Amino acid sequence: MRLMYINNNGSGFADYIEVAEGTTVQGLFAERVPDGHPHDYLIRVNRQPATADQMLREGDRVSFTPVKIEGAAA
Amino acid sequence: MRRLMRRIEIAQHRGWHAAAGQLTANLIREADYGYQRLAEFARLLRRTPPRDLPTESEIFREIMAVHGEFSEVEIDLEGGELIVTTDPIVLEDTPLGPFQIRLNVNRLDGRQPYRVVALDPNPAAANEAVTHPHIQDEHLCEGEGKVAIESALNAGRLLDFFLIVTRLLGTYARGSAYIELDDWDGIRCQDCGSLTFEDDRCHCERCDSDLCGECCLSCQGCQRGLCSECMTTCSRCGENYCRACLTACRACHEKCCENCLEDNLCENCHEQPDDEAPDDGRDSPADTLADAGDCQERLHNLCESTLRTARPAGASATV
Repeated sequence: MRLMYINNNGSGFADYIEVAEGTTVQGLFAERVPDGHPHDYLIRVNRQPATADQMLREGDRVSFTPVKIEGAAA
Repeated sequence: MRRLMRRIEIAQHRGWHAAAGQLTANLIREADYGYQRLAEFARLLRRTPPRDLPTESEIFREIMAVHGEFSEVEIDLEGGELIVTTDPIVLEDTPLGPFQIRLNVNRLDGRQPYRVVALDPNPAAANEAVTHPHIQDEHLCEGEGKVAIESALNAGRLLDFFLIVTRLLGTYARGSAYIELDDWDGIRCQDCGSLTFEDDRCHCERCDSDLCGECCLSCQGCQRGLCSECMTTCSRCGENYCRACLTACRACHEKCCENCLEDNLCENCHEQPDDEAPDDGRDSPADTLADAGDCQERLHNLCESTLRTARPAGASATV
């Protein structure tokens, strides 16, 4: 099924992806952010907070935003 | 590059092989440079694909999502700003208060179309305009979040934008701040008690105490920076020296710098005449004779007075 996947980490990613039917939020995270931990990210499905076991559906929009993003001094 | 290629042909035709070699090396450098610029241009094109403007319904959903995510959201129609107020920010026990993220929707095409305003500012002591380690003059330095913010705004993903900025405000990047949190309230000079800041602060090289620029004294001998406790002065010229750069005059034992000592004698002791040569604890022969003469005279007087007291009136005595 087709999802809009957004990763706001670093240079970021925002595009449609294909995932298997029955993929959960946790499953997508493990697949797309293999070196990350879910508690280090704000996870939203269709702009709403989501649980790890929430089943994703065709056309869903999933975003992962890191909890820690470092600023700088110009 | 075409000109280089023509010159190479000419050089080769005339048998100038060394020149042709040099020109070929130049041509290769130019080609590499051109390739790098093209690759960079291609990367930029890939990063900024043609924009699909969000529909009205998408924008509406984004605004509703922002309302759902944050407790305080305003829309300033007159100023064209979408405003989100954060919870109070505390970084490493330093309270910074809540901030307003004010996104100007009329300037979305411009560079950083938003500002971050401190509502209950606790600015750095050194600079009131720094209300957060990564904010100066309401301008947030985006650091790691720069590309993600641009991408979110380009796509009209307002919720993502506010989430990213909020996370930037809640993260302290030590070593990359306008003013580090360690210096937020300033550090007191050990000598005068005034507040010191990073660019004006020095340390005593002997006891490591913090000093302001004015209290940091320089030893005229070894040039070390010292506090007033660790610094002393030459007894003769009065210049600042550390104790290690002073030597005691061998006569008067006053601490003097090397400029004020000659043959380990200070100026005062060095200038005394020969017969008043410095007292080194031993009498000179002249002093000894003088002392002997004094003793003899005193003894003579003592004897005379004793005899005067003892003899009857009219008698004489010879000593």
